[in-house]
Amino acid sequence: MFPRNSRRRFLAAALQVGAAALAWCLPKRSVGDADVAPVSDGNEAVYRRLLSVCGAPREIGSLAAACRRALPEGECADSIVAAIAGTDERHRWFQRADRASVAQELCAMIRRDFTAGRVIDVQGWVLAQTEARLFALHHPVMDAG
Amino acid sequence: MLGDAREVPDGSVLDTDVCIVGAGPAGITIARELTMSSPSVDVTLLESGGLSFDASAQALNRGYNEGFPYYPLEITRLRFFGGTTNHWDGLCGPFDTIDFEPRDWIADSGWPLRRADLEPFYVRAHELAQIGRFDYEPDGWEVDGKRRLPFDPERIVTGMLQSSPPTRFGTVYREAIEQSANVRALLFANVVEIVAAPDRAQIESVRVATLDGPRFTVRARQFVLAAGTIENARLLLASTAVQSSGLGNEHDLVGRYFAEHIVAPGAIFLPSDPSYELGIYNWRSRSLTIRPSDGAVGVAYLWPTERIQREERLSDVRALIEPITEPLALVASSDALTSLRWLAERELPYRYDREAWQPEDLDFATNLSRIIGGLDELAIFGYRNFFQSTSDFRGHNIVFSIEQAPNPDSRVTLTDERDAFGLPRVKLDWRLNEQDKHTYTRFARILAAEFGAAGVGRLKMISDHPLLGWPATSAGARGGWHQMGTTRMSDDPRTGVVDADCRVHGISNLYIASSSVYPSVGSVNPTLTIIALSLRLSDHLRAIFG
Repeated sequence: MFPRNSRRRFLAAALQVGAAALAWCLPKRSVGDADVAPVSDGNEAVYRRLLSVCGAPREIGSLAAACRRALPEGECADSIVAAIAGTDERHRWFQRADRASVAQELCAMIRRDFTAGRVIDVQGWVLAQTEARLFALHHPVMDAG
Repeated sequence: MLGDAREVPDGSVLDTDVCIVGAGPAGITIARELTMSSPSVDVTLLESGGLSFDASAQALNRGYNEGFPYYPLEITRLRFFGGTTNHWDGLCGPFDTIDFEPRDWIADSGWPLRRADLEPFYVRAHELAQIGRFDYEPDGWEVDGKRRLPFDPERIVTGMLQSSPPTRFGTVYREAIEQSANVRALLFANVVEIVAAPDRAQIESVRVATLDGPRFTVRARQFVLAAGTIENARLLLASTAVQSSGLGNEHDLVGRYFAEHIVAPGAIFLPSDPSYELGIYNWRSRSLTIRPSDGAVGVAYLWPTERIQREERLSDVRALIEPITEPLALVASSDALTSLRWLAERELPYRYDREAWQPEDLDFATNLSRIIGGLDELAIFGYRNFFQSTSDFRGHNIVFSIEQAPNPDSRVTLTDERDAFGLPRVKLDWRLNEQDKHTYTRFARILAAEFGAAGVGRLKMISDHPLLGWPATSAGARGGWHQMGTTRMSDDPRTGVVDADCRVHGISNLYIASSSVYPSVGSVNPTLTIIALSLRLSDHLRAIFG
């Protein structure tokens, strides 16, 4: 049996992080400019669209930073946006599509990631790559690339 | 009839057809079967303890642990009529088909039996364990919105365990033994040696001793060891008069391959829908689900399909789910609650009760002070447990039950220290290996991907946590109180102690009825299979006597 305080801290932290892990599928508010990492002009529209769909709950700060460190794209927001949007054609689609369609597509991408084994361990949570990229985009000190 | 070995004249010799050593679920099952089906067969059932807990008898189980952390040996098995069913939880299920098969990714795996060979005995075992009909399909339990999770059935399926009341064999079947004309059960009768003929081809007798009382001999035509995984090995290893390495031990197998079900916290499950209820998966004793058609009580688990087990090279493993919240999880493992259980316990002394077990001896004052110090936790626990539904709980704990891979280095040996009868005490060296760890870590990730793909929620891995993960601590991976494997079954005497009939290789009249014969141990609780094998052995013995 490990010390009571350790148990309490561990369980509390686990549940807090868990709430953050689900935040992307519970979007409730848009994001202000202060939360947005700098990206190149070509990616800005898609970036803003992604953020507006997912929201930017404050509590995901540490998870977002951890996602950023875990991703192959590293610190580069442009690369992350590009990785989510994919081809030029899909890039254009993300700019044109309405919020509901973007959300639906992101959910589908996340499920496909899980099915294909494209997962990343972040702070113990097993996240889809797309999901981790979305988290990472919320980290405000990200490099423009 | 039920008698007291302390009243048997010292030095006497009792003759019988079948001598059964140990009155746990295996021994009582065989005695009961022979009572009902073969009244002309004379049976002597020897039980080390009495009708209730006796500390001096229990102390005979004392032994030593090394290797992976394990419970004190004197508390894991009970020495009185009914054996360990006196404190079992009652969860039951048959082993899976794949558990009986040799798997090329698990060394020494596989039985010389198939699941189909045991099927009719599983059906009969259900009656003895007082559980519902032999049907483990979840459909019957899926009522009132309690549905199985929507996973890819090619990868993860939902299975069911059924719950015995739990049946205390010594209580429920005592009358049948007492009133039997052909079964003589002797309490306080400790077998201290198995005596083989000089050619080692058969057993002639067992020597029996009582604490501070008479010693006598039981001669029989057939002998059945049903004393449990550790004691069976101990008796064979200690019977060295005609074979210095111990009976049945020509190939140095007796005591090896000790196995447990590795119970480990696998992950924290956070549902996508915060109002999600576990339903049929709710693994809290007072929340198990009832099957309307026959009242069977059950709980669902998640299991990797045979395909996934093969592809991922997993041992058998299943995941049970229980609701947690921070305060509930906290107090469920709190010192205060443990001490409260200790104070409240009436049935067994606390050291032998599984729920109230403590790793150290604490006196009354210490327990009381722990309760007073944790009154706030107890209040929360009481409120949540008795007045609040689990519907607002957001987090769930996923617990794995893992098949330990056969491991010859995981073993029971004898020490130089002796018990009250001069019998060597045992040392358990429980060891796990990389296959066990691989199953633990890999299955957690497979499950996490399935939860994500199904949109059910996310899992946080426990496996890497320094306090909860691998290797074990008292809060992390541990034994499931299921001891198995020390007299394993094989057609080949070089790889097994008993054959497919549970007969010790090379000895014509010595059988073993116990989970000690399991060569692969599955991940389901072992008692139903113990009963099924005992019923099968009963039929075999009946055929011998015609």
